[in-house]
Amino acid sequence: MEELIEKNYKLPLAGHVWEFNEMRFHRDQKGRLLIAVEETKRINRSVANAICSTDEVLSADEFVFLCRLCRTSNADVAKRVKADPSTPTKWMKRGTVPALESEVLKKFFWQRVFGDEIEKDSQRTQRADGADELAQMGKTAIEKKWADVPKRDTAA
Amino acid sequence: MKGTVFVQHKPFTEAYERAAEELDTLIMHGEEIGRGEIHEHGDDGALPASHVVVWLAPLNAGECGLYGVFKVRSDEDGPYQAELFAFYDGKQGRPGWQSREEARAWMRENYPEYVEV
Repeated sequence: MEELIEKNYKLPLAGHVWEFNEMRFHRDQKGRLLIAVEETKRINRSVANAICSTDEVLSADEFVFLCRLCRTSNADVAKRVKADPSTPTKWMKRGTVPALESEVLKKFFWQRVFGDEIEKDSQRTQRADGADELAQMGKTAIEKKWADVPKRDTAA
Repeated sequence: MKGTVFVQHKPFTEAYERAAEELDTLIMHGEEIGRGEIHEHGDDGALPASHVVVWLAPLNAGECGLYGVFKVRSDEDGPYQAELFAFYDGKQGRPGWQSREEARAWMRENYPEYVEV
């Protein structure tokens, strides 16, 4: 199977069009273009990071995307913000999540998506010996994390 | 599994777009509900393949769960590649089910050759 890398690739997701510096595909012997689960996971995580890093309130599409990605039900969300179980449905009908709840939920979802990874990074840092090794690890982690932050383009 | 799991990206359809979005979730959280051995020749020869049916329950009441069928290719060392080739989520006129039992019943009726897991 042939691997292809497309530059500046635009993809609709969570109510926006995102532009990725690079997208990896595979072409099979029939000429079909396939995408691997590792790449779909990277895309979902990049978009989650971008959504949770803005100062804007969550749109209904972004909220649904994050709930789906984190396997979080409306009932779980309502509990998290101490609201009535029907409240998330009202947000979706209205099209946005209120500002305060947006802030709480963005932190919650970001932690759900990246918490384990941060914990592992932290453990690695504690085990490392020497300033050079730490500096190299930090540089690699930053390059890896921010190498392909998608640009939000327009509403999908 | 040694290899990886794919979904077709183009030709682009909304169902495949949703399948790509849900692929990781389906693999990580779904449960196998059926399996069938298929007798077709692969692109790279007569390698054995299986169909594996995976179900993922809906997050909220009243929604449909995810139903995906993977074609899993194997060689003498075991599975090496899988591809999601059927995906039903109840959206935009596609079939969908709210419970595992409903999904199983549909599978039983339409694919009697699959063995329930």
